Amino acid sequence: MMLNQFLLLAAALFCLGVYGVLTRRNGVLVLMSVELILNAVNINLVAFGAFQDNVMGDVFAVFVIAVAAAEVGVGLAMVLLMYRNRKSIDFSEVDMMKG
Amino acid sequence: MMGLAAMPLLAQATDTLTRSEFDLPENIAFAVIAGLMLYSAFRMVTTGNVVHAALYLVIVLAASAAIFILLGSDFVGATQILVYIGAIVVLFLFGIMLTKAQLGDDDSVENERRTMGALVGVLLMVVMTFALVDTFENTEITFSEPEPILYVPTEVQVGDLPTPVVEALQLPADAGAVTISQADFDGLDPEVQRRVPGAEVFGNNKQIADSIFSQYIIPFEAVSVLLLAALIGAVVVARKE
Repeated sequence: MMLNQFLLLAAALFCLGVYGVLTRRNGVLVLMSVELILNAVNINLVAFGAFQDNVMGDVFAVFVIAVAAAEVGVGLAMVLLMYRNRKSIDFSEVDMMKG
Repeated sequence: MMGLAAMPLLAQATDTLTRSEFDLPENIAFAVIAGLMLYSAFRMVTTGNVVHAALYLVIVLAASAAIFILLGSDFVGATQILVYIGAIVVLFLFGIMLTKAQLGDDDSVENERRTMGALVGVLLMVVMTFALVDTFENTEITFSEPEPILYVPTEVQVGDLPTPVVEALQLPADAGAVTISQADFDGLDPEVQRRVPGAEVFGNNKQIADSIFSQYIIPFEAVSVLLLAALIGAVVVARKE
């Protein structure tokens, strides 16, 4: 298998994730698109790990998965808080950096 | 002159072709998985229904687990299924339900943002495609030959052995306790060897465990502290006053 087929797949996934982050206004959907981006990175890590024939890529992919889990936990808590305070999870409405 | 200059290129191209024939099944699997993945990802970022988006996300994550397994990283694939599909997607569904996010139509993707987003995405894709094709044009992933399976001869009951092992060694069913010798073990097919008790498990899981708990022990501990901090932080942020 070519290395590039994996890298290009990851690039396409990354771009779809970026598109989602830019166009979505629903907070939960923005977080989901961020997951797409993190997954694209994971595919790159594992593909390069297989290419170099060592386990470093796998180890880092596992770390990325752990960090993504933490990120989703905190992110959803923040979206929940926003919903409770404003009755809306529209990210384009939160443009004031005030408490 | 042109023909002469093209000769090495042509030779290279045909060489790649013949080598690629060997992993045709892998490439078919890749094409199916990649197609499914990209379609689902596209639907995920364009669908108006929030719950449907979460379900498309499941397909994308499962497909990327399949890609990991295709690349020989079965541990990462299993972790992906457990952590992402098992935990994160459920968290997302809870988030959707708790925020009562307009469950039906999202109606939020207005036209101007969509054009700008598509422009940025396509531009990014073009740039990355150029860079990748330029850098890794004909780079192939070659999987190293599997090393001989290590075996420690141990005494086992014939009744406890898997059927393929008993058949391959032609052991009598009433033999009781036997010890399969190293010579007998070496004569077995690798697929059967793996099922003999005392044989080393296959895959790179042992190496991953070794490097996480020796070389990367400090990042590992840092990640555990991070998870704890995120857990406490999420509880503090989302708690009702």
